[in-house]
Amino acid sequence: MNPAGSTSSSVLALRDVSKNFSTRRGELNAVTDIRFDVREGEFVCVVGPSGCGKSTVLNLIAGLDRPDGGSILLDGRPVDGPGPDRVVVFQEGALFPWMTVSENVGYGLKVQKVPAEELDQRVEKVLRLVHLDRFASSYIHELSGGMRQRVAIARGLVLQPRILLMDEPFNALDTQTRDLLIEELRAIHSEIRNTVLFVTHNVREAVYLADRVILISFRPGSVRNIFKIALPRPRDPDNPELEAIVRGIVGELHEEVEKAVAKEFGP
Amino acid sequence: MPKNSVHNRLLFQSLFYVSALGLWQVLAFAGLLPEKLLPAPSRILGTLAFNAGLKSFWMAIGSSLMRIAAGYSISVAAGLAMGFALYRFRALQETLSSLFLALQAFPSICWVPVALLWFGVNDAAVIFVVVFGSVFAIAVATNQAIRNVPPIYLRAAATMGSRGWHLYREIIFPAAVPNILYGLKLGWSYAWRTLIGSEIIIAGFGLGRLFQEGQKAGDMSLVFAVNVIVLAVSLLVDFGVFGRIEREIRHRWGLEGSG
Ligand SMILES: Nc1ncnc2c1ncn2[C@@H]1O[C@H](COP(=O)(O)OP(=O)(O)O)[C@@H](O)[C@H]1O
Ligand SMILES: [Mg+2]
Repeated sequence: MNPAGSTSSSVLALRDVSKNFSTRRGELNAVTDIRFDVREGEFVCVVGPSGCGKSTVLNLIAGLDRPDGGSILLDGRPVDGPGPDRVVVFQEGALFPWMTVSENVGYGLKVQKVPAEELDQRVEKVLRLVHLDRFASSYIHELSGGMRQRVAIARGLVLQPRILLMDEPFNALDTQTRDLLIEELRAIHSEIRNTVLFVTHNVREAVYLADRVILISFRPGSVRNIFKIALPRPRDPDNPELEAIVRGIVGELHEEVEKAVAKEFGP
Repeated sequence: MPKNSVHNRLLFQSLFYVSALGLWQVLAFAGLLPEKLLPAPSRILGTLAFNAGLKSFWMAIGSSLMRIAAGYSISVAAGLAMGFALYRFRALQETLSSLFLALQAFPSICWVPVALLWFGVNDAAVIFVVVFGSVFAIAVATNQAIRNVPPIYLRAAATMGSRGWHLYREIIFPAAVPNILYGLKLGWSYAWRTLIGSEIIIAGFGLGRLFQEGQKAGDMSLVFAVNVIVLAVSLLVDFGVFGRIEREIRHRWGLEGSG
């Protein structure tokens, strides 16, 4: 470890990151002193009460927004604007309705001027990975919500980003579809070992998927605790050990939620 | 919508128009309508048939169509460019967008005297009026359409590395197409009205000349016959061209049944 606390294999490093928004009610200190690392091949989940700044952090990493303080390093270099090395999978509605499934997935490669033949091959391969190869020529509105999010994931994966950023990607789905996609995401990660930062408010989901779970505190958003999940994979969601970890994190999360409720609805 | 109900609606519509025309014909036949002012459909049809044998009639239609094609093409190209320029350059947005909005509402016939003094009595004058009568509607609608592109598309494209010209061509423009199409349709109807209006005022041109002839000769059936041509072109473009494109887009985007 160097003095900054990062190891040589860390893909992403956040150092005392803060972000303010000016709102009608004045300056809002959304997140402050955010500090964590994500290592190569790691699956890291971020949980926290609604409004604690999870999306804010993700957008800063994506380069869609600029921090007011601190630094964000990707492979040791400061992040400057959005780029295909940090693709975001959004909650919903981010697919392009005028393109087919394969055009959506191939779009990022087209931007990079990947030759047509290679592009087709890579799109086909990633569509097989998310089990959508039969729907390559469908338009987005012809797909179910679960299939759409699989397209969104494929669209990110095909670019082989250094880190895949996911902002509550399964929120708009029913529980059954959600469970199915979580399982698929787990299988994909165990196959290709990509680096993932996954935002969710579902602790059980986080513990099931993650190597580490980062709990963000409420206003100002800051890292409250980082839980290392050492359970072997594939994990059994009903495993009592997993249960115990979930209970521990949920307990801390509730304290933050109560803080949030007090601040939002209190005097 | 189920196919059946589409068929039923079409049937109902044609039934309505056929009986309206039938009623008109019967009333005219019974001598209940002033023939000089409101000739029977059969007479209008006869005049159309007669004129269809005259070369000058087709020349008149052809020359009007040439002018609308020229004027509308210029309007589309310039309107799209202006709409994009306003979006791209904030200074233009802040200065010109209100002017364009005002010019969109400006009565296009007011450009006729300007055109006559600048160009004289010729094609260029008519085309100028057509362009000025329609280009602002297209520019304003295009600008609105682009500004209303959901930001999530731009953010998603940005994280995939898209920017600059590529972002405009592959994301912003196609995302705005449904609303841009609305502007093009509006621009078309402005252009067509303006063309006929200015041809009648400036006279001696295309369909406007035929109107003049009918009016001078007191030949109401000719006036109506030309009206039929004007209406036919409107319908053809609205349903045959814009309707088709619109259906294709609605189908692709999955917008069917939402309006
Ligand atoms: N663009 C913005 N302008 C003003 N306030 C914002 C903006 N984006 C987020 N916020 C505020 O910052 C806080 C954190 O938001 P967000 O990151 O979306 O939370 P989360 O994703 O954890 O629910 C919230 O209080 C939210 O209202
Ligand atoms: Mg959020």
